Amino acid sequence: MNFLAPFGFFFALFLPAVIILYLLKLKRIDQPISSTLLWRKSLEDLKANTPFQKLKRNLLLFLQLLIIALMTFAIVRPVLRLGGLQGQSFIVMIDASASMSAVDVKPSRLEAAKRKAIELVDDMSMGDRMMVLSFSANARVLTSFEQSKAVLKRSIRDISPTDAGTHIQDALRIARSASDVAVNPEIIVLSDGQFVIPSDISLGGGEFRFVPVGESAENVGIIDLVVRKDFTMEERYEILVGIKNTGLQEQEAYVELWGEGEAAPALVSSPTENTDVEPARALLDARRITMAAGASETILFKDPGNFPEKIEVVLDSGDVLEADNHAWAIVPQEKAIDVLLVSNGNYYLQRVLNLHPRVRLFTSTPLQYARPEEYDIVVFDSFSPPALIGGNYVFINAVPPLSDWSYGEALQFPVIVDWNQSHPLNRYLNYENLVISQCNNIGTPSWVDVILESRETPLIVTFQQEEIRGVVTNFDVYKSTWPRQVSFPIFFTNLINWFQSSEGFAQFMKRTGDVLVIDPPEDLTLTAQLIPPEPAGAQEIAFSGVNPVYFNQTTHRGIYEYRVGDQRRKRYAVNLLSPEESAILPKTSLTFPNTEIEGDEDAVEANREIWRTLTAAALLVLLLEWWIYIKRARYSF
Amino acid sequence: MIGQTGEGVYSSMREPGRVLSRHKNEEEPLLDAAFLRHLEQLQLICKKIFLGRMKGERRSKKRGVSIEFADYRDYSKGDDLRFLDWNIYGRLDRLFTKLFHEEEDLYLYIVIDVSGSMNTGDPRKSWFAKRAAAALAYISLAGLDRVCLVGFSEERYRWLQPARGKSRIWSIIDFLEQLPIDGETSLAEGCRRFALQQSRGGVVVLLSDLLDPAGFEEAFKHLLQNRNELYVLQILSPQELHPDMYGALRLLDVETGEPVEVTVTEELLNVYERRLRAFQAEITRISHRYGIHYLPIATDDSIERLLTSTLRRMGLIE
Repeated sequence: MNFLAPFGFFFALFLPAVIILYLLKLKRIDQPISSTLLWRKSLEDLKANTPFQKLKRNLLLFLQLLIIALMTFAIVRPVLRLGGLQGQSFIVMIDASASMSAVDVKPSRLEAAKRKAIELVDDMSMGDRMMVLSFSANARVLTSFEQSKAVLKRSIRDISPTDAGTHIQDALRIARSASDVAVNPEIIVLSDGQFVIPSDISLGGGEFRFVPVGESAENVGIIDLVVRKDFTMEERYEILVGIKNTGLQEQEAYVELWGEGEAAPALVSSPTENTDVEPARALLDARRITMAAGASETILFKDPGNFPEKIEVVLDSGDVLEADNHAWAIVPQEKAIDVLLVSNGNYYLQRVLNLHPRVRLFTSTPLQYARPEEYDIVVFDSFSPPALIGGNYVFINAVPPLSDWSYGEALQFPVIVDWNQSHPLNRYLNYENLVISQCNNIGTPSWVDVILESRETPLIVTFQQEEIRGVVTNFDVYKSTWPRQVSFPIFFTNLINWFQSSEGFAQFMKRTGDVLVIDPPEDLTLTAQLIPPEPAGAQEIAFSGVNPVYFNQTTHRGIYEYRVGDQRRKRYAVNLLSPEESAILPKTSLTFPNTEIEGDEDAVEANREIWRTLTAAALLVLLLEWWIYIKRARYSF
Repeated sequence: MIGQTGEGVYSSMREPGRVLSRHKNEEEPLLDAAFLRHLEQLQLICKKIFLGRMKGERRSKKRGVSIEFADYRDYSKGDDLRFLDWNIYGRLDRLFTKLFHEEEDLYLYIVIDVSGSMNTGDPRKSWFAKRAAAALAYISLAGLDRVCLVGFSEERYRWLQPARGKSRIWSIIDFLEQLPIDGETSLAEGCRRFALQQSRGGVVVLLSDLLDPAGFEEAFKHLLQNRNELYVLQILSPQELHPDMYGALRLLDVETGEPVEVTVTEELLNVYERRLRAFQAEITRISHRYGIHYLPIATDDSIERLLTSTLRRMGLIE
């Protein structure tokens, strides 16, 4: 038994007070009698008696002491550990993250947690209220404080598992702000504890209890999946699969690579045109791996020919958590890059641009320059057009016709002092041997990215101004040693990839809980739909104007498909890929910055305050005392 | 004080502070017809011989006119010639006068304690005392004796002139009914005044609870003057004999108002009853010393039985 208000024991000081009252202020009832003569003499005979002996025989005194004792116990708020809840406001937080789908407890951890939550609901006392939250990648308030057990049970049963990671911060903040306004709040977390508690979260007032769910730690999961270009210049993809055995025993597993859909051809005009035929699923590759406890392994799948658009990695390990045994990848369907070179003739540039296998190079003289919107990239050589529309531009020995840009006097042999090694344009290259005989002193806006810098002036900069994205090279390649250096073709390959980078892999590969940014179609009258993986149904997307829509319901792993009208626009592979979720060993305690909460499996056995019972008992004794007093007054005196 | 109004008499020991109407018995006349008829068959006995004022049914110490021969004496001038014994004159030739026992009336003094303490109890002690007094008076009147009533307390002293003849019973009852019951007890003073006023000896019946802090022995001595034959009837209520109360009480003396704080327990009740028995034993002891007839009575006793049985046994009545 615990006492929530032990200072209430001071109330027990009333016990001696009552005894003192009995000794000092005994209220006597006036009783006229014929003569006090004999009584006086009788009292003299009784003088040996002490008041304490008299007190012992006074039932009323005992009853009054009992009342005070009961009241004292009520004031110190004792709690009994009974099979039920105590308090008045409960905030039940149910973990619905991917790891809660583990089936080490039947039927699953989430179902076990829900069952415990329903038991909590059943144990609520009259007047108790409960708030139900579920959390995975984000928090959801299923019911605010509610007294109806039926409503609470329904909302608890409605919690469905997700494949998302666990971010408890939001849920904790909601719970804390709710507990600030609640009466006698108690926060109960039903989870396997697989989450990181940020250091800025601290527990406020009120009770906090952690009910761990789950038993097993044995799991092998896919914790990483990367689709990337081969390091060589070849247009090959490779797939990296990171696998970890988070369990305590050695595990054997098969990693299978499945492909679905057409192979991504090198040069296809547009991916949006070939849709709707669901091609057969084919096993592309399979590996058998044996992993020690706690070991991680990375498996590399090289592109045998061309990967199909949709790749599924299946980890066949027979473990208890299914959510991390599948991962998907979308291999981008790449199209040809149309590049327009506006030049009076530049052999080096023509050669270097043609090196890129996907580039279709068009040339034009400055005088013929027109319709830049038809090209993916426009390269100006020693020429600057009078105005620019949105697009990708490269200025060689020229500056863009935009405000804040100026073109100054020529500069002989600028000394290269630095280049930005982390910039994608500078990947795999250095400028150490580059000699430039002449450049121009240019003025740039302050917000440009300097790629290559001389002591006096920037030599290569990149910029983005609204819809205009560009690279400015402030020297004529003929007046440098650059075309004969290895950095020259690498730079231009990087440059073309950089312009295409917004169409990179990252936008196809998402994690559960990530936000999908969906751009509106050109024709807003068409029906736009996002089709999540089974079992959820298609969701219609309503755009307002040209603003993109942010879709955050990526709670399940799988392929999310964005369709406009009948055509497929884009597909997203949403995967769990979370080492935290794959490590399913249930935690036995939660560590908060200011405290440590021990897990309590039997959270359903809750503390129950019994002050009400005690107060009621005190009241009953008070009535009894009154009744005895009255009865004596009527019959005994 | 409670007794001053004559109303509002405290009578139930079980209901503290409650003012009850008179006890139901008090609505009854002190003597009713059936009871009176019964009483007529009784008469007082007097073991001593007293001087009566008029010729009554009692043998007097005086030699007088009656049929019961007592003695002879020499004739002297002026003697009634009717009482000369001619037979002796014929034999001895001397004149002797026959002397007879004169039959005289007896004086019955009923002395009633009318202090406030008599106004308690259920049935009330004063009512019991008055009824007993009335009954005794009637018996006495029926036997052609003289009855004198005295009511006293510390402040009060009332005397009803000796009455004779059954017809006087109503004035006696009037006197009794109008006798107020209040004031403190002073047995010795009341009895001293009675002794001063009493001119002839007789039977004295004292009706009192004897609860006088100053004691009762001196009062007995006063009442024994004039060679009186003294009967002491100590009237106590059942509540005094066996108190039925419990708890923390402040006992108020109805006469003095003096409080005594007690916590009544079984133990105290036992002590009280021991005290009461010791008190009565003391009265008995003193009564034996002075030749007094002492009788403790409870007010819930039957007054008929008292008269026909108890007092008869004691020899007051036959």
